[in-house]
Amino acid sequence: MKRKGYQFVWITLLLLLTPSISNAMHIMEGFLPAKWAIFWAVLSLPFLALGIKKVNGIFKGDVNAKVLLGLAGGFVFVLSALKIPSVTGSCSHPTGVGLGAILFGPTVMTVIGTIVLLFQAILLAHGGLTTLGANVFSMGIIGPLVSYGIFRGLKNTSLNKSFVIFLAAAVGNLLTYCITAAQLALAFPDPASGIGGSLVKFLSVFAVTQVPLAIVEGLLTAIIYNLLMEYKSKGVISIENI
Amino acid sequence: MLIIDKYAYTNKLADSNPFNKFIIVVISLGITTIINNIYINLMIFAFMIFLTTIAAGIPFDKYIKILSIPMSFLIISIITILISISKTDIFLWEINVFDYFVGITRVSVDESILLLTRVLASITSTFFLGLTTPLNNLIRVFKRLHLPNSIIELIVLIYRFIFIFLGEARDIYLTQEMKFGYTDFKNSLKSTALLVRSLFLKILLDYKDMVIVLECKLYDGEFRIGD
Repeated sequence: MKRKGYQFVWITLLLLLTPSISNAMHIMEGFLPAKWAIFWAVLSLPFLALGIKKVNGIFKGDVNAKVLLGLAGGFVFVLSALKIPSVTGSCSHPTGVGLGAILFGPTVMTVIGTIVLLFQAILLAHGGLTTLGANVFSMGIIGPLVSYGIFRGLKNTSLNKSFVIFLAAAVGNLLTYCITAAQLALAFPDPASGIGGSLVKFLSVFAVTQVPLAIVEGLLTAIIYNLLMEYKSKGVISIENI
Repeated sequence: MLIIDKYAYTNKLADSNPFNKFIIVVISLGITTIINNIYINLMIFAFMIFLTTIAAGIPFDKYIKILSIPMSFLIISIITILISISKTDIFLWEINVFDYFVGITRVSVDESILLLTRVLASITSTFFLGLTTPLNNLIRVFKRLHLPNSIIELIVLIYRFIFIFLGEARDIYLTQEMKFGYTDFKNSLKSTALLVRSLFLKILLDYKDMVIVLECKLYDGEFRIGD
């Protein structure tokens, strides 16, 4: 059963298809079986409840914070709808959660991220309602937590500040993609090599676009941060967190 | 501006009861993900296409275009699930690479077909909701579901700001492109960063303005939304 000609066909097919993934961060509607969809939704709920509690607390303290958070949500949505330059030639979308988490904090980003993902499912046809829980877990919980953790942890060290921001955004983005790959692998274990083999498959297929994308998002976030700091040092704007 | 949102307001079912539409979609999503039968999935797929294109009157070519947005993800993922690598020959159809077999197993074929029909059925269901229900009607559904009030307020505010910022971002992008801001990789990186910075500053300025406007209107910390 040796058909060497087919190898060539498969490889060209894969090369042709891979650059066309533009938005692999979100698991599409209906892709996860019921038990995994429910599992991720249940896992995300406590974080979301914590976020809502935090947001309500903020609203009690400052009535105008509602407007600010609304603006932040619109900002994150537009960021994720932007096409950013990508090395592989295809246009990719940043997650924007790294920047959001640094500016507004991770628990608040969970709430905003959930609403943005809902809008992306309804308005942009990215992601979905049944897979909302899984996407919230990777993009709204793990991504912001990791970005914020790296930012807070390394902020006061001797490391270059731009590099810290780059690291926070890039690693947050990368981990978001790793979690998505893991979610897919858990739901669709490989018949021959099990969950491990399946994870390797998903990680390597999506790495083609996601690794350059993470680097670009890191670079972008660092540049944006520096531009904002410039304004801050001149007293034009005041941001508490940075 | 966003094509799905445009159709949500202009289709023939825009003013029909949002609860009915919401319940139809929830039930069909439930059936596709829990029951997992190829034929039921295909029936839901056909029914949803009928509802969206004929009952709601969304042009078929535009509908296909919207449906094709998430398809690259579907194709890539299904190919990833289909192909597996093993040392032993357990495949329906395979090629030989050094000591390994790369091929397609019976299990993965069955799983992929089921997955394909499930995705088609549920994606058309969600699109039916998105394409036929304007957000102000969805808010009424959210109110009935007793979502926390702060979340509903945030949803409305975010929805409002999305379109302001999208317009803003498009204007900035066009201006930058006319000034050759996206000619090469380094340039486009810089231009994108400037765009995002301008947007962020705009947010802070809008925030100051809105606070003043709300204060003039005796804002007491609650937006009264819905019925």
